[in-house]
Amino acid sequence: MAKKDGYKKEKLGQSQFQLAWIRLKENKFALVSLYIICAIILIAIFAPLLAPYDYAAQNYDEILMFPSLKHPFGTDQFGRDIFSRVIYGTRYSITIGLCTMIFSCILGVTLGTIAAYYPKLDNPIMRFLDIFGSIPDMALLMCLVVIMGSNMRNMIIALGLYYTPGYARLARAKVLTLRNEEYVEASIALGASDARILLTHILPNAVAPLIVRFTMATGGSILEAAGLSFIGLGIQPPKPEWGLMISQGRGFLSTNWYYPILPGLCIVLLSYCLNYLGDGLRDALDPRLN
Amino acid sequence: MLRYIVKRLLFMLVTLSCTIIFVFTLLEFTPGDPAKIILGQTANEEALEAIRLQFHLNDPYIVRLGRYFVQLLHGDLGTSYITRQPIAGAIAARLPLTLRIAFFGILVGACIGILAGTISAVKQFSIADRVLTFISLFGNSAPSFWTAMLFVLIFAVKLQVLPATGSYGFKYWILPVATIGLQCSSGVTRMTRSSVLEVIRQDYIRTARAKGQVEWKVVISHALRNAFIPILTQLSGEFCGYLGGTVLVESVFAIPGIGNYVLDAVKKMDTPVVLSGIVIICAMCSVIILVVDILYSFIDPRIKATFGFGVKKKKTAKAAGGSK
Repeated sequence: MAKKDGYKKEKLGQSQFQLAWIRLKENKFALVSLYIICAIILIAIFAPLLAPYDYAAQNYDEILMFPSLKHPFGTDQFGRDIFSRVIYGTRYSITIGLCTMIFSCILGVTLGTIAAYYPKLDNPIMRFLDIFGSIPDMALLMCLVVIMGSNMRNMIIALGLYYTPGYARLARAKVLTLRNEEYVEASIALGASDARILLTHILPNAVAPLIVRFTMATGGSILEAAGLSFIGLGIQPPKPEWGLMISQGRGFLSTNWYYPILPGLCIVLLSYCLNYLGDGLRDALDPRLN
Repeated sequence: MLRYIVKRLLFMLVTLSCTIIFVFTLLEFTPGDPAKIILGQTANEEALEAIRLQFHLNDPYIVRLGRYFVQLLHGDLGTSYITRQPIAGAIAARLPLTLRIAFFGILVGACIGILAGTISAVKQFSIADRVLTFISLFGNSAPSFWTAMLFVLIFAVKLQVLPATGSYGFKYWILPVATIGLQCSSGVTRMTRSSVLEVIRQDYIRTARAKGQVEWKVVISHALRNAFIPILTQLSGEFCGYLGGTVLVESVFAIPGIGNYVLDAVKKMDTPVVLSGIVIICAMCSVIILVVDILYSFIDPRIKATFGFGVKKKKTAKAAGGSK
């Protein structure tokens, strides 16, 4: 029902993205997800202003306190305020999620486009990426962590490499269909260079599925990053990363359940919003799917 | 059929060898001197040299790669740097645990997911659809280790009906299987929903209905069967993911599976164990993908036709040439 109302508001002369935005606005839950994600990004930027306590300040008078007005999420075994740590934790998740996606998107789209546009390079690039993609996620990530060591920069590189084949396949499939379009043939006939055709004619038309994948995979990479930190291969203590906090709170599950559960709830919230927004974007950008 | 299977098997072996070479090469870049990892930083030079000779660490890369392949063909996965025990035995003891949890998790996930996905596709935009979509998206967004801890909190700590950690019998498997099942079912639900939705608008569904076929038969034997290929792909992908990915669940429930084994090795820089562990995981994946590929041709005979095409054409051409 909501979809039909959306089409009524479409007018002539609006670009694809304006139309998509109108359709997205019809989807109230997707819009709420977008607001929550923006709010979390703002929280990450202004964490020092918002956090009531220093995330590293230890207070041995108040260890393992249950959630109260003074400490909304309680305190951990060193008396650190979990709420403040969760607020600072947004910085890690947002940074890792975005950097990973930007890294893998640029690398993957470049490789995929080259593979699709230059048939000679197609086989070598795609077969290599197939091998890369055939290794299960955690196995590949553990392997990359052995080589590079575990810190935030290496985790971003490892996750970025893991997500690259997906982008490459998506970009390749899209470019393969687009390069036979008439407007591409027209620009070849007009003598446009390869770079110009790719950048101004093909890529803008291939961007819709990439945006959807970007949104959804950001959620996925945040989960993977939390998983890596959880098993001790990602962010190292005493930094306030969410997965790491869950890992540290493990021993207190039977006595202080809020300690591992609440940071996890934040991961779920962020990842849920990203997934929902991705779903909404897919419906908005590609009306044929409904 | 046999020709198709043999062809796929050969293809699988080539891919697997490439994967092994790739992982082997990646692990070449491990920082640090392996001899020092084996003996500790304070070992003297003579002992280090003896260890290097024992583990053939001085050989060039190509020789070691070749030796690793020969070892693999003999069923020898190498020796751990830390425990100095053969890796094959350790993996053989741990692999069944991981496989069991992953398999039953996938089974539970597939049953729930296909049922829920079909319901939400058939009743699109209904309340059931919205609730199921919400739940499946939640399962997709919750990290497995967090769900696992939530289960431990509810069933082991609060209700005290199930054991929290270990792996000694049926009772101990319920929570890990439920964790993986829940997570897997969410992906399968989403895939089933979109795939059934795509099929259900096809003409042959309308034809089946026009003939007066009962609705549940239309859904199961016309819609679901044709929508099954992407679902099966999703399932095989999830299974492969869980072979390595159970490490998160394993570490919550303290299950000594292959994931935990590789994780320990990663932390101790025990490269041969990491290498062989990943190779075994990849090999299992290849087998799963092979089995699924063969299943495809049973579900959709058109796939076999397209795959066998090149071979058949050559054969008929040859036969034609021979008869002349």
